[in-house]
Amino acid sequence: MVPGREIYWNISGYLFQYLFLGCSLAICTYGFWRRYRKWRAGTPSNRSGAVKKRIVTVAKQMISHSRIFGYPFTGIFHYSLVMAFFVLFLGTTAVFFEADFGIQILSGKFYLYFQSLALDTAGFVALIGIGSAVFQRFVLKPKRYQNMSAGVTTLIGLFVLLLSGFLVEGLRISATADPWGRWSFLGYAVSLPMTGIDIATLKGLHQFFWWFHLGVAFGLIAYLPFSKLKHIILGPLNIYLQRLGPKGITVDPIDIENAEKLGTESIADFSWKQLLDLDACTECGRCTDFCPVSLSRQPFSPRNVIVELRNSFDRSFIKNRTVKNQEAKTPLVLETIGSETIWLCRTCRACMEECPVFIEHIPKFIEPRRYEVMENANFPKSLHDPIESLESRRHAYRGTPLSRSDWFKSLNIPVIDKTTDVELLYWVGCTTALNEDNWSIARSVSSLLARAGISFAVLGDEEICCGEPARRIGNEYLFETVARENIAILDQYRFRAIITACPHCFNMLRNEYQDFQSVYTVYHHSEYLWYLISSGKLKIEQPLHKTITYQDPCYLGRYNGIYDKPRGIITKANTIPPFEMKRSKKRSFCCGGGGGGAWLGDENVPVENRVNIQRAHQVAATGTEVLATACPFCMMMLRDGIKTISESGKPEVSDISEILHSACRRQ
Amino acid sequence: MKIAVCVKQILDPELPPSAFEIDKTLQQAKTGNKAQVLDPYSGNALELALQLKDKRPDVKVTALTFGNSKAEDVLRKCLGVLVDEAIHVLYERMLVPDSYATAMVLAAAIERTGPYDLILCGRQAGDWDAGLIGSLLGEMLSMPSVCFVSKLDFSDHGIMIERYVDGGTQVLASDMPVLVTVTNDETNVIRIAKVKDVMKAHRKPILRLEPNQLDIPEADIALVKASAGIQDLFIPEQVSNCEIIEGEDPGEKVEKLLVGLKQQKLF
Amino acid sequence: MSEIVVFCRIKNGKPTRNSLEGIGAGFKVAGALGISVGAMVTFKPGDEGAFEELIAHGAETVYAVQVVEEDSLYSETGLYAAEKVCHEVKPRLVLLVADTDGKDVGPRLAYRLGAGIVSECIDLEVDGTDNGVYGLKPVYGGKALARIAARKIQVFTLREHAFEALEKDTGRKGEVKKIDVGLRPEAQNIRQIDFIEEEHAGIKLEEADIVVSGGRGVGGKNQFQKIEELSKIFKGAPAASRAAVDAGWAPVSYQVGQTGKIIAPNLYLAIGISGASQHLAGISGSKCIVAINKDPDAPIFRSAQYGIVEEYQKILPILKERIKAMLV
Repeated sequence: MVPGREIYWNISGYLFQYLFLGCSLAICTYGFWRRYRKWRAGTPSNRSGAVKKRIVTVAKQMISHSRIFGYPFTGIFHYSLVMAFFVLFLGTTAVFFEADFGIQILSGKFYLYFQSLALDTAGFVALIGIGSAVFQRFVLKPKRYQNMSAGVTTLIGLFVLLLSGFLVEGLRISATADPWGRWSFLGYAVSLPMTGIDIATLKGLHQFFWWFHLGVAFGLIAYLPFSKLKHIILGPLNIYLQRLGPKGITVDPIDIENAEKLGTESIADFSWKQLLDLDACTECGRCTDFCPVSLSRQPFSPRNVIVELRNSFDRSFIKNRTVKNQEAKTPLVLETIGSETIWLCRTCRACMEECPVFIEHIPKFIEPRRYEVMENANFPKSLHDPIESLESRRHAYRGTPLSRSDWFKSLNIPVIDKTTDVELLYWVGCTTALNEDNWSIARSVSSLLARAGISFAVLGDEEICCGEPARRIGNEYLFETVARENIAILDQYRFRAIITACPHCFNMLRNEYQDFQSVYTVYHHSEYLWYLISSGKLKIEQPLHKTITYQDPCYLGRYNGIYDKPRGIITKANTIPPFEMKRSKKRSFCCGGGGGGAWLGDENVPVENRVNIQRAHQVAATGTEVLATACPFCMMMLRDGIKTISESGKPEVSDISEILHSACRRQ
Repeated sequence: MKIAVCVKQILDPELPPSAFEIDKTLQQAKTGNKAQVLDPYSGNALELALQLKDKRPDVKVTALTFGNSKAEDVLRKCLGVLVDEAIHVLYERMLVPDSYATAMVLAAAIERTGPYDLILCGRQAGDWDAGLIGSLLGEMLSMPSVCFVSKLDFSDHGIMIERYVDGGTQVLASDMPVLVTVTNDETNVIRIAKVKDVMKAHRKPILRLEPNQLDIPEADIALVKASAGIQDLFIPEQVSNCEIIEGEDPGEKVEKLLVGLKQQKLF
Repeated sequence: MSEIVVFCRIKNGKPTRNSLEGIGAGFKVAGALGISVGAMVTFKPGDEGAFEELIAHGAETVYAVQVVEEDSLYSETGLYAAEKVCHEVKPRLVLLVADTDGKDVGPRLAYRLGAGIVSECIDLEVDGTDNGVYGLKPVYGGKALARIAARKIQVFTLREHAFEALEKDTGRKGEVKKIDVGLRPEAQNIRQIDFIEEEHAGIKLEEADIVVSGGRGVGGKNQFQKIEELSKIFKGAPAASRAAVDAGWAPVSYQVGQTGKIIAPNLYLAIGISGASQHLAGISGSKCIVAINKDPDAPIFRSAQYGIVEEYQKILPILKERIKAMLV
């Protein structure tokens, strides 16, 4: 006899299930439609095009689970659950094919190995997965979970679904004395205690539980858009609709001249994609778990912001049924999340890099900043001076006694002129030129370029701010003005590429100026110096012999994916390769200087809760001799931090260019 | 009620010393492409005017400046913080930064566009620090003037004036019209403009006047001719005789400092 | 005979320090010009003793104008009296120390006399060849100096404490001329309705021998309390740069600099002050400036006698303990 079983044994009127399925699918669709209608209240954001690329990205994420595996235990059970239910879904589909299309597949080896063994294995794995999820939620209780009971209904639903499935299987095996029952090892195990129960009772129970199992399954489908499980749809959808192009651009540009309202006032002023983000959130808390501001125990949590925005928007949407009423009555962002909150974000991108469904957290802070700065002129007092100074002096360092050319007054540094071609334009940046503590960076970089025989020049006093602080603080108008001025300045000169030692300028010039159709070849000094050493243009004369760890600047690492070259430079320049801090690379801990943080003034924040102090503690705890970095903001913030916490002022903070410069010095 | 605020564009007073240069032929600082800003005290005066406007909607604020075409920037800034009207008395080359001449031109422009109930000036401008314009304007317009005002408010019949004098703060009640010169105070820091308003400010009209269109009294012109002449403008040599105290640690440095101070019998 | 008239003032029966400095400034140029120095004052009955004091400090003539009572708007009274005196005396130079009243009266007096005016001079010079008088005035926040020539009749206002008074010498002879100018015509109605005296816990900033001052480098309102504590231990007065006042860390009454108070203590301790020229203008009369700043290139070091390059947070606690110990 060929192994197999009778489809829909003991079940009459199974076709009714399609009616039920239709109903539950209708409810499911309605649920998602309601959400869709909510997103449509948002403002436009272009996420079309590049379909193939988008699909590939989604598939990659679903197959690799790379971000979910960021927490290995969660990763393993989530992956198991996904795969198990996928296999179970295939099994159900196989029944559908056989019963409704008459395709004979549920027999022979396929029946034994797949429909029996594999499905029971999948069910077993799924049970363990649910058990692990419960274990994590109620025993391990990770801090990142805000609401421990969230998703419990879903877990119970899935558990009951699996259990009833095995019960049905067991009843069938027992009632039919299935000769291949052992292949369905879990169903078989369930059937063992049933020996001795009369067939009629078994058949009655089987019928009951069959429909019960079906009810639970369809119930879950109907419940999908209202439950945590909605992420099965919204997660991939949100990944599909992510912003493509360079990661360095996190916010949409605004048409300042024509926009009715600048920035985001009420939640409905967010773009539809930002609103979709809110629904896609699974509250997994990875964002908050890696947020340097949260980790410094300041009152800030990106996850809570997302959840609060969503809850508040949902409530208002229930109140005002129509989209039209919606416009007038959506809650204000700042009333929902608190007016201080938007200024705490350092735009370090740790949250966005970690989020498994690719939620864009940073625009949630930048867009309301734009509104507050441009429409309300209401922003922290500590930022007034920098903005005002940027307006009139084209740098944000009010009170600096320095001019941009002071650092090379006594040096022989060429200033660019219109008649000469140069290979590189060295963009120094305000944070380096106007803070004496950072002059060593500019001097090392220019000296190394000169040593390698590269023709380069600086803009000198003609250089102005790249506009980065203005954009992060939310003054898009000032940013645009400055950016256009810069482009006009740069267009006057002939150079092949720009080199800069500031990741913030680097990201602006390389990525964000693309909004103005200005594309430059821009190198961060770590890239170019690496090229100079690896091509032999620069020779290491006397490598250092120190313990060195490296601070990844956010705008170099997470924003631009440059992790290895700075490390490579240290490895070449030092006899000991750099060692890693606990938080490094993608998971590096911000210095606190980005997103306007360098100017925000932590006066009201207790010392121990400042981001740079927290990082300084982490650095000091490693016992390293040198902290290397590749960003003048990191230099400034971490030097300050280390000075504050350490009596000896150690470890010293050095730019990679300084380290390389010492190693290239001839005896 | 009409308020006039006289504002001035000056070379950024925070210009780094290393970037400061003198044009010997003009006897002025070189401006070039260096930052030029709204004089901080003009800003304080402007803010006081705006605070009065906030309190009473019938207040119309006029910003008035005398300067070259670049000075339009400060009027745009004034329009950005929502003054009602901007007047630019345009003069491309002012050879000598002369207070009499400036006051005379401003007085004539005020006569021409007034009358005003209240005139505000900064106590002095942060470039030449003369501190003369306000008082001279008062004389020329035959208007009483009050110096070093920090706060203004409406009173029953006129205006309440708070001013800093030696030893404290004087509160005065005055009828209008009156001219005040304004000094800085934590309550009169110029407000931050809304970007929306700044953008609109670029499209607002500015009333432009040439000095020769103004009616300037003969006697005042004679005064200008008789006024001060700049002989020389130079960057003084800095002689430093500072003793930087070296030491192993902060404690040693403090000890050495105290020894030095005791030697000089400073305490 | 043409002469120099110095605008003086009597308070509590004595000429003010500024008046004596003004006479000192007059003496600086009077000799070279061969003209005399006169002091113009208003007085109330009982103030006559101050005339001797003015003479002992160098006034060769005291033009005394009796006024009924101290006016709360003294500049109006003083201006009226000065105008009348000048019309009678026809001086070549009029000097006023640029305190609150001097800054107010100077330009208005100049206008009324049809005179030229140079304000806030830190020095007066005489050209030997043509007896021309020049005022030296810091401009562009002290980054430059302007030498400005006097006209036929010239008013100079003088920066406070930029000139020294003559040593008191009771042997000097002088004459007191009382001038009756009548009552000041009632001007528009401006009247004082309140006077809020400046609060200062200890000694007045202008009178303190030791001043402890903080700037932008202090870093915050809470940290600024350390400056105040130290000033108390020193039995001096606290002060601040404009940057610290603008940041809201210190009240305006602490502000020292060109547009704040101009002071001349024996010891000025500048903490976290970079030393913008506008600030230096307010302290250049100090006997000794000590600067504590982490930035070795801060301009304040160029004006200081002693400098410590260090984070002030590391110096202050030690300094506090040492001073406490010394004063016990």
